[in-house]
This record gives sequence, C-alpha cells and structure tokens, in this order.
Amino acid sequence: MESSRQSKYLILGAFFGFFALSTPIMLKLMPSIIESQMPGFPKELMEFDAVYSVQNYIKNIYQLGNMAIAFVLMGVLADERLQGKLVYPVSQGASMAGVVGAKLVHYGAAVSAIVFAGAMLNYYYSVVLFPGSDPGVAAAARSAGLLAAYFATRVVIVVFASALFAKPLAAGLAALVASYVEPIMASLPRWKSIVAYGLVDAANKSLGTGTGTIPGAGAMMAAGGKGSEINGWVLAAALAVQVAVLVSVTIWRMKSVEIAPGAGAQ
Amino acid sequence: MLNVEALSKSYAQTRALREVTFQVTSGQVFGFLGPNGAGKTTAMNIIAGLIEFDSGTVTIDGMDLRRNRSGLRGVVGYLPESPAFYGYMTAREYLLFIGDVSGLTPAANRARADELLDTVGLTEAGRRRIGGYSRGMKQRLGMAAAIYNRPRLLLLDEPTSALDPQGRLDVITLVARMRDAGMTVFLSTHILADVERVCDSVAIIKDGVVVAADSMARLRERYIQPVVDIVFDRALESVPAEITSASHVDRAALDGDRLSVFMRDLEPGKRELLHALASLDAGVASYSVRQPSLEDIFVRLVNSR
Repeated sequence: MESSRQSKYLILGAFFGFFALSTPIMLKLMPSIIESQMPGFPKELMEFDAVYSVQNYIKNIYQLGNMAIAFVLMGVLADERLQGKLVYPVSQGASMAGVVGAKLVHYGAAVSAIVFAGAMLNYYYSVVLFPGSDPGVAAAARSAGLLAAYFATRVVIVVFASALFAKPLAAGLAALVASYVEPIMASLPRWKSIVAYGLVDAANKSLGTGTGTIPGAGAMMAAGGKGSEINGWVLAAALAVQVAVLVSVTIWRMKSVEIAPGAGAQ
Repeated sequence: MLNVEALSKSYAQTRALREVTFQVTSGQVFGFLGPNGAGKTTAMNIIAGLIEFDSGTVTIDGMDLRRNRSGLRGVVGYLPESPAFYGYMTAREYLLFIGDVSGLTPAANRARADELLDTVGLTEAGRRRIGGYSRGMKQRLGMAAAIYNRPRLLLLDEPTSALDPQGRLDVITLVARMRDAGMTVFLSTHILADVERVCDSVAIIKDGVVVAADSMARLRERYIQPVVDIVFDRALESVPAEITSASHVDRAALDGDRLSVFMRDLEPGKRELLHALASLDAGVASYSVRQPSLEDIFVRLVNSR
C-alpha cells in the first residue's frame, strides 16, 4: 500500500522500463548519430549485437539503478523515525524486527521483480533490434536473475543506511557511496567473489561476449569484467552472511534508537 | 497501576527529568501538568516504552518497564501530542493496520475499527485519506488508535491542545467514559480547566522536577491560600491597620476601592476580619471568599521555585 500509493512502484517501474527500452534503441541509432557528428568515422567500429546491447543495459542500470533505488527508498525507515510514524505500531505491539523484516521482504521482492522484468524486456528488444546474435532466453533469464539479486542486496544496503541515519538524504548518499565503492573492491584479488558487485559481473558474463564498442565510453565495466573468475558458491555464502549481518544491525539499530518525535536526534 | 520512582533522563547536557516520583492509582484520571519544556512528553515517551531512561524505575501493573518491555505492549495506549500517521492510508485502513499488529482476528478487527470510528466521530471521514485530515481529526483518529486494543493505561499527551471548544469537550467526555470503563488515564496538558473537569489526581512538574503530586482535593487543601475579596463604597488611601494587624491575615493588597486579603487560616480569619471591617469607617459594598482554582495552585507552585 505504501509503495503503490506513494508511487514508488511506478517510479521504479518507469525508470527500469525506460532504460530497458531506450538502451537498445539508442544503440541502434548510435551509428547514425555518430556519423552526423563525426563524418568519416569508421562504421565497422559501431557494429553491435544483442549481447552487447544487453550488457550495455546492465552497465547503465548498475550506475543509474543504484541512484534510483537509493533515492526512492532512502526514507523507508529514516523518514518514519523522523516523523514519529512508528510510535503507534510499536506502542501497539509491532516488533521492530517485524517492521524491518516486512520492509526488506516487500521492497526486496518488488525491486527484484521490477529489475528482472526490465532486464527481460531489454533482452527482448535487443534481440528484435539486433537479430542474429541471440544469447538465448535461458542465459538472459540467468543474467536478469543475477541482476535482480544484486538490486535486492541494494535494498538491504539502503534500508540499513536508512536505519543508521536520521536524515533520509544522508541515508541515500551513504547507500550510494557503498554501492559505488564495491567495483573498486571487486577489482582487488579474491574480493570479486565476496562483494555483491560480483553478481553484476556474473550477469554480464553469463551472456557471453558481446561485439561492439561505444566511442569515448571507456571501460566502465572494467573493474568487474576482468580478473579472476567468480566462485558462485563463495559469492552466495558471502552475500548471505553480509545480508544477515546488515539485517541484524538494522534491527538492533532500530530497537536502540528513540522513535518518538522530538526525543533527541541521534 | 503506574509507579514512577526517581526517574531521570538527560539529553546531552540537558537534564529533562530529575528523580521524578509519582504514583497513579488504577481507574483514575491523573493530570500531569507543567509549563512547556518541563519534561512532560519525555516522561510520557518513557512510560510508553518508546525511549530509554538513565535511572529510576517505572512499574506498570506490577511489571517493571525495563524487564517487561514487550509484555507491556498492549497494556499501554499512547496518544502523542502530534500523532503521525501514514497519510496515504484512510482512517479505517490505519485502524485495521493497528488491529493487525495488535493481533486481532480480521472479523474482530473490522468491528473494532467501525466501533471506534463511530466513537470518535470519523465514520464518514473514515474512508478518506488521512493526509487530507485537519489537526483535530488527526487527534481524534489518534485517540481511536490509542484505545484500539483496550489498554489498561492510556497516556494522552496534550490531547485537547489542537481542538476547538466542542472538540475539547468531546475529548474530555471521552476521557471520563474511559475512566468509567475502568481504564486508567494519564493526561498531560496545560489546559487547567480540562484537568479540573476530569482529573482525580495531579502531578505538577517544572524543569524536570515534580513540585507537587496529590489528589485534587488535597492539593487544594494544601496549596491554596484562602483569599477574601472586599469592595468598599469608596477608594481607600491605604490598607487599614485593623486588617493588617489581625492575627490570621497574612497580607493584603489594595487597588482603589478593592482589597484582597490573603488569609493564613480561613475559618477563624473570617470572623476576625468581619470584626476588623466593622470597626472601619468605610462601608463594605461586597465581601466574597475567592473560589480556589487549580490555576492558582499551578501558578503558585511553578512561580515559587
């Protein structure tokens, strides 16, 4: 109810849907745009396939999707604390673990579903616009699933930051910093298999190797795209531990902070 | 029902409560009075289990608050001064949500929501979103949410401050009904007329310290200095010596033809005063013993320390 009436689903759905559709379209239009701007630029450098289109979407959505989730969900606990909205539920018997758990499960599931649907939509349009290089539905679904799992961990990070900071904006920025630091950590030896960014890397690799390059775009996925292979079991176990720790600290934090309005800022 | 013993709470350098002690008897309406910033809301937030305290004990229904925090949820209902709701919900949806977290069955929950919307006069508005409610409507919804699971102790923080006179009367009537139904009500307010109308006992708090805590009758007995107001048929130049020298008169204040005589002891003082008045050459136009009010006690206690 909270998400639908505050249009959070709509915002996230529109965001991921827009990029799912616009990425392959922009890629398709890219040669014409470049040609009009840079006459004589060799066309063979601008030949893309569907795999590259989906990987390009993953790169875009990693950068912008983190922002969208951080700013849409940053007030999920901080705002309720700040305004005293938890006073009634808690004083009437709601447990803080229940409040935090409900928000995590709800938003985690919703964000995963939206991300998965967006990625599959992107795959469909990529194949339509770049025929002849279909990575396959199974590979696309596996990639979308890994991407959805990554964004579910972002929900945990945002909710954790929202419990940590009294101001929603501070929570959103802290979650963003945490998410953007991960690729740097993933570039370190052996770290790729223990940070959530490994899921984005795995989502990329599960599609195979794409063809194409965007002039001037650089190696935005370089950190995750090179180096040692990811051990799926190690990554799953590491993320499970990280999520468990973050959820436990979030619940502990919410139990220890004062939720009554004007009860002293922390 | 509620026993608060040497309760202390500080925020950084500010000592919000200092060794606060009072008792609330079961089935009473207990008034908690004090000027703004005295520590009333802090005390209520502690009793509601919403914030921690530094030292002291709070016992509700024989259970220590610190040791039985989860067990006491549901025993205490709380209406904060500015209740905050999810503005995207309707009042009925919000009450159903409160019923859900209270563990009511769906059928009992629906019946209770409708009953309470009727009690607080929000039946028609109950299907509109709370975001569009006036402050008074939110206060009434807050009252419904606070009593939703029939708490044994109801904490009301300034429940009438945002209401018009009719709204105030409705809330005070509702408070009296809660007491009649066996609920103990802890009422924080600075509207003294409301306290006089409905409270059985009172604690007055100033700068985090309880300066008086007793039944209304005993407070009146103990703290109100009897005053006799006399109006003469002409203005006097000074307070007559016959009056100031009377043994039961504490002091007297003259304002033209009006004299206020502050008595040490009213009963023998009245007879003595009448003798003194009879000996004056000024005529007495009126003579009245001032009715003591809670406001007199409040002003005297708050200003005297």
